[in-house]
Amino acid sequence: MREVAVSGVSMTRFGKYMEKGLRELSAEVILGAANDAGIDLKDIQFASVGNSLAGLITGQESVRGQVILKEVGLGGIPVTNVENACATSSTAFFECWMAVASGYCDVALALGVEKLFCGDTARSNAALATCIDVDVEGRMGFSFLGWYAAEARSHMETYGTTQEQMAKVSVKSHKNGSLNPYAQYQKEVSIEEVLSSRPIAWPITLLMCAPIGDGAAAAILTSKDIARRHTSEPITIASSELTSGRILDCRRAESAGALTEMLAKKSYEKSGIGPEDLGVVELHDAFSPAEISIYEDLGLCNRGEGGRLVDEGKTEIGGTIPVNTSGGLAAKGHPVGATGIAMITEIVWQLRGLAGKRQVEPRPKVGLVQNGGGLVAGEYAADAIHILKR
Amino acid sequence: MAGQDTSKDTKKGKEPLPFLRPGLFVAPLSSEETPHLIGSRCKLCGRVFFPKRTVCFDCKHLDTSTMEEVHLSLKGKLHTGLFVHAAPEGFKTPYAIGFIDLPEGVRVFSQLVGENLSDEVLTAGREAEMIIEKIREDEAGNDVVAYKFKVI
Repeated sequence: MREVAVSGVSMTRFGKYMEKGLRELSAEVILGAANDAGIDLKDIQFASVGNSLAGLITGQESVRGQVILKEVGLGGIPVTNVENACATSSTAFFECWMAVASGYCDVALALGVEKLFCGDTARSNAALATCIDVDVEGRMGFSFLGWYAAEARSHMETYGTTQEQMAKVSVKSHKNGSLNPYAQYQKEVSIEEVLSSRPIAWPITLLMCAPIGDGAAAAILTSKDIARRHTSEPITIASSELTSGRILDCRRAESAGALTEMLAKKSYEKSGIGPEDLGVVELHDAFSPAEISIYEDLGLCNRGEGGRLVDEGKTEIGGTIPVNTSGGLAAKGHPVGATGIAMITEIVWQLRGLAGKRQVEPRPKVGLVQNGGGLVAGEYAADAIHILKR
Repeated sequence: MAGQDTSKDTKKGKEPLPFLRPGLFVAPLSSEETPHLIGSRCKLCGRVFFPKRTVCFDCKHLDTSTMEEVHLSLKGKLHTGLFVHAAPEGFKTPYAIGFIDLPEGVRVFSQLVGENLSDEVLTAGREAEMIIEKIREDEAGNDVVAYKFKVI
């Protein structure tokens, strides 16, 4: 496998776009990423298009990628349609990495796009509720919420983590979001506001939840040679890892260790990079409490010390290991199929020094993206980790 | 009455029927019968699964006759239980959900019912028994009937 560069990235601001569809949102970021990479659209040899829920929301199934790419005149190349719940566009990115790393092509487009606002919130929520095993979970009343709440409680009981620490994560996300012109919510909130917002499932309150939203993000992946034509300092992919959840049951779930911890270890082994080398991290805070246990999964601190990391401010932009500088899913927003590449976009901007008011100083050399998706049998259905470096 | 997709034949107000994957559970047709969940046991290693599986996760034997259908115990112990205040359409919030560990070594997700339930009393280890009851309404407003666990 050869080294692959992330030569161009682009994202729309996440939010509510009643006047734009998948095509319009996508066109903006495809052109943006191509411009950023210094390539022409005709240079693109492979495209992987990630979208999770438009089939249920708009009725457009099966060939969404082709329909979207037609908007910018892209055709006559291999196009794959990818869905993997909240990890959809990380999966598209993984496919493009494989295509370029294997030598199959030199220039690939990874796109993630989602439009959840459709004028009918019940429909959007019903679509989101399909990212689990609908037979024995979804139709029985299970949802992401129940799982995240149960995990949060377990962390509290085992390690003494508090609801205040979980609220502080949301406060940090919203503070970072207020510095990000691409975030859906750009307003700070206080601990009191988070704790007193509507209870969703204890200890989770409304301001700890990622909102529904619309948006798109794209990345152009190229060989390192091509990247060097446009920049003297290419951002390269140190590791690209994707896994599905393991097949666990009650006899094993407790002893198996976290899926993300396993994937992180694999990513660190393959890249030769350790958690101590990371300068910035974007991780999957679909609900704020999850951020604390993911710190531990990624080895940013020891098991059980995630809450303390928050108290000490170490994951704030000025801290030793800034996390979710974009505002995370809670403030930046979470248009499911666009999220993974948007997280990657934030890390690329941080490594290039283009993150504006939320820029980490000194400019980080290495960043990590963790993006989990769906739920099957008590674990993410899909989990992806990308490590990028300059 | 096995759980199966018959919702298209029902109208609001008629006898409630399930709209679920078939083969998950059996509901009693008379008061002499008891309900049960349908699982599988691997004849090679003895591991039990719910819902029933074609292949054992451990043995991964290619001969499907190594898996036999079994009725699961009605009673188990709560592993996790909690109230949710948000849910997709068809569910009335707040309601309680949880995971129940059955003696066969199976963990089942289910809605939880019982008297005076609250977050505080839904503690691990509490006994719970399977019942058949309305779990939600489908898109047309029909009652969907399936298994639930009653916290004792």
